[in-house]
Amino acid sequence: MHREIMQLAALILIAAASFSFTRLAAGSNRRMHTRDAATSYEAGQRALRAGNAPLAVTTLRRATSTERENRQYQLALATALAAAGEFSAERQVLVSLRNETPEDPEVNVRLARAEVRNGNLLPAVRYYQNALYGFWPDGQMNARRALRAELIAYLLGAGQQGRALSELLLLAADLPNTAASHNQLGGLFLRAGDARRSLAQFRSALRLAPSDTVAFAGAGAASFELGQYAQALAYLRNSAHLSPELREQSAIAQLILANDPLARHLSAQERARRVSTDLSRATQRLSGCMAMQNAFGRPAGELDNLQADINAITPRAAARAIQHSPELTEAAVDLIFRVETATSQSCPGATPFDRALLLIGKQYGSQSQ
Amino acid sequence: MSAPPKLPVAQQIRLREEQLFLALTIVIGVLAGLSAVVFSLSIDRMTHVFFGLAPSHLRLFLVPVIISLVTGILLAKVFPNVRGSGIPQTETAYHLQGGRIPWQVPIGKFLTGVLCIGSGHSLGREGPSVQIGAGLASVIGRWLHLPPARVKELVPVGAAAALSAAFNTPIAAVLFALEEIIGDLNATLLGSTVIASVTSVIVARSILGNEPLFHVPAYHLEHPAELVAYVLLGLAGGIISVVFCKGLLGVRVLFKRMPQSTLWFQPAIGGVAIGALLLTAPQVMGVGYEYVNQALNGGLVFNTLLFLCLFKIAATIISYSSGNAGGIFAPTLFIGAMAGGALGTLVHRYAPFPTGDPAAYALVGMGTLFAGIIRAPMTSVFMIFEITQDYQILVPLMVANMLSFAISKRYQPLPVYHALLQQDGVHLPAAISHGVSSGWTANDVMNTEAIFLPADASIASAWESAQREGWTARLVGTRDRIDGLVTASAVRAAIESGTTDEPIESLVGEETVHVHPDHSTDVVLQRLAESNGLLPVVSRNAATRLEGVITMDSVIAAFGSRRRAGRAGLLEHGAGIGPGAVEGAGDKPTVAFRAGSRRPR
Repeated sequence: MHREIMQLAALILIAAASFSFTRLAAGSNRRMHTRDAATSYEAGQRALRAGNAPLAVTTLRRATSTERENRQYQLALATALAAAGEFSAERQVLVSLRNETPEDPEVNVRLARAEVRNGNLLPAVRYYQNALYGFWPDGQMNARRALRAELIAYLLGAGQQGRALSELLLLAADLPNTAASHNQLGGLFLRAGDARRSLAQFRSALRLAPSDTVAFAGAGAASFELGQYAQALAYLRNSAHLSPELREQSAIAQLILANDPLARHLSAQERARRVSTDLSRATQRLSGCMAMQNAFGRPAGELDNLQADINAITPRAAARAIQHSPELTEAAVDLIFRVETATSQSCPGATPFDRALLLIGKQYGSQSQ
Repeated sequence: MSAPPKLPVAQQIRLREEQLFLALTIVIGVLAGLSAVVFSLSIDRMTHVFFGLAPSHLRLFLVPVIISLVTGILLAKVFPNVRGSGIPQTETAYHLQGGRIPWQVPIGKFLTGVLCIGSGHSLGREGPSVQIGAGLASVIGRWLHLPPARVKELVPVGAAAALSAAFNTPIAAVLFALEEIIGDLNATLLGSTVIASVTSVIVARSILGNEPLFHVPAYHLEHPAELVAYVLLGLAGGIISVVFCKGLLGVRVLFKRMPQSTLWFQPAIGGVAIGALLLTAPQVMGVGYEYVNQALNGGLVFNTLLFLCLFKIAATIISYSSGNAGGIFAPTLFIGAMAGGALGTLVHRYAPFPTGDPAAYALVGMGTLFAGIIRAPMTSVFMIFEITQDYQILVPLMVANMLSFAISKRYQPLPVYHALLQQDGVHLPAAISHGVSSGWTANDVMNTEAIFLPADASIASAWESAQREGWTARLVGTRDRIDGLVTASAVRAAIESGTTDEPIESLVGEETVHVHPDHSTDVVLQRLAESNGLLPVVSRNAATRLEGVITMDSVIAAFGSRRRAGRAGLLEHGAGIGPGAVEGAGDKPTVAFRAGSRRPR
């Protein structure tokens, strides 16, 4: 028994020595794999930069197979997979990463963009929000704001104005007080359909930078949406370089101001002139549209009724008669609005004047409601 | 106050032996675990040395060829007993050699395994780990001068410990040792194998960390109808298992038919073929777990999955059949993952019901092929469960496993490890060998003396002998190499047809009914009825070596002498108990059995 105990003790010593040796060997192997993984990673990045996505995928897979826990390698692999068009595999890698670190903003952002690419709205929004509410290191707040702006832009593009507006309010509370930030917010509010907040943002930008042409243009556009055409024109005139859209808005604003028959402080003569001019324009538009419908063999339908109304009101709408009849003025404006609405739906080729008449009609239509 | 009564001496000795055995089990667990870890690390290192990160085509081709030449010489001249997987050899040592594994075996297996697998051969490391662990346990047990029965018991203990560390699945390792090596869920050894397996995996994880071998995503059964898809996977798995086994055994026969003088060169033939394959599919080299992980995480497309499945089958067949040292455990999992992933891709694309990711099918595919090829269904289920730690996978896994196992068993009745041994002339015992209806075996009722006809004797001389001596059946060959059996009626028919000058061995049948010494008398009597009255008893270790012959007379004589011994009160083991089963066969040479039995083992 004594001999066996000695032998067992010898075995235990051998086991202990073997354990130490094996640990050293394992450590050496681990360092070898780490070096190999780093080499593969570098090679993968070079291949990616050179545009060789398949090679990048191969080498980065090698890197990630030996260093599975390395987040940087996994993200690089995901990038390479996306570049190679292997979107499903890219998603797998990102999901796997996210399972390990659900609060990682970068992983969630990448997943969000992958879902955007696939047109999956709800998952994309979820990942964006996970990213936004994840853990952001200090000094990354700008990136976080930019991400929220990206989400808002995506929602607006997807027609999700309501969701976008919610995010905009959060962004508004988070942005620094600079002209650029206010301009950015103003533009986004305008896209989201909240012209009032948009105008407020552009005004804030102008307070900080009184000659900011972007703010002027934005304020002009917001004012235009709010139906404040004189103000819009004033803003737009201060903007140096207008986009074609804003130039058109400016022209329309001028037309509205020049031809609104229900504007305040107009003389009776001027009001009558405007009604007559507007009615004449509407009549032309209707005639042109009906001719177009006939040419295409389509039944005129509502346009015939409008023509009948035009025929009925025209004799009565002589300038003198309108001067003394506010009801006739309103009826004429209403008819002009109905004509412009119907023709804009049925026929192309509306001029800025037609659009101006439409806006005039809408303005008074919403006011009367 | 009086001292507590002392235990009887025999009981004291037994208690100390149990304590010593327990301590030894733990030490073996540590050492076997370390050996498996070092083996794995060495393969890694060797692969890195041979191939680097991005090997050229020239290197991919030349490394397997050159290294195979070296290992071929080692396997032929220095370490002749370490070819192949190691698991069949461990089973042989356990069942037929009293657990005796020479010290050269674990050393040789380590060296040649590292070289073969590290040089790109499509082989697994688990089988060699098992043989190394079992060998270490055997060597230690003999060094400590343990009783032979204890030494034998240490073999599955070392095997389980090594597999546990190699595969990081302690429960599956225990089951594998019991299911495959022992062939029985033997409660006697269950405790020891569990202790060693757990010790081993603790040691391995303390060195390598807790990172699992396979990173698998969470498993979901998306819809009950998916079980239909898993039925398909089971069917496919069964077919692939049969194809693989038959291919492996068929190609191996071709190599075995080559002259003995080419034994040193055969691995290099495999090396050339592997080198050529690696030029097209370098992913099939070595163990390949990196690509299994990719399949398990949906990183491979259908074409790649199918391609790798087929190439891995071919590569593994070539590597193993040409005599290189390495196992088929890992390739089985590789093939299963690829096949499952491929089928899963099709199902995911075309099924009219919601389905899981192809990766889920890759995971189940691993277990399915394991059940079909290795034929260890319990181990397969627990192995996959230990990898995923997810109960949801059990039902589809068992469905697919069951089908794969059934198909494989139907068309390849002999499990692959047993079939490989049979090609080497080794017949392992099966369950029917252990019938205990009377406690008597073939060894007890046989007559050790036998008369032979020389194989080159003419039919005419055989006929003369039959007429002169009146025999109805006679053995052909020699005691050390029996060719088969010939009947007097067959000789007469040959005489009447005029083929008198042909050698008598031309009348020997393709198959000869036989038994082994440890077969129960139930089996003996059953086969005696089919044997034309003369039933040869051949060694399990060398199936062409005759141990004795059984006739009705020898059976009657044996039972008669038992009755007389019983009346004289000379029974050694108590009333009603016979002399008992045969001990381990000991060190007998292993020779291929030319005429196989029709009977399943």
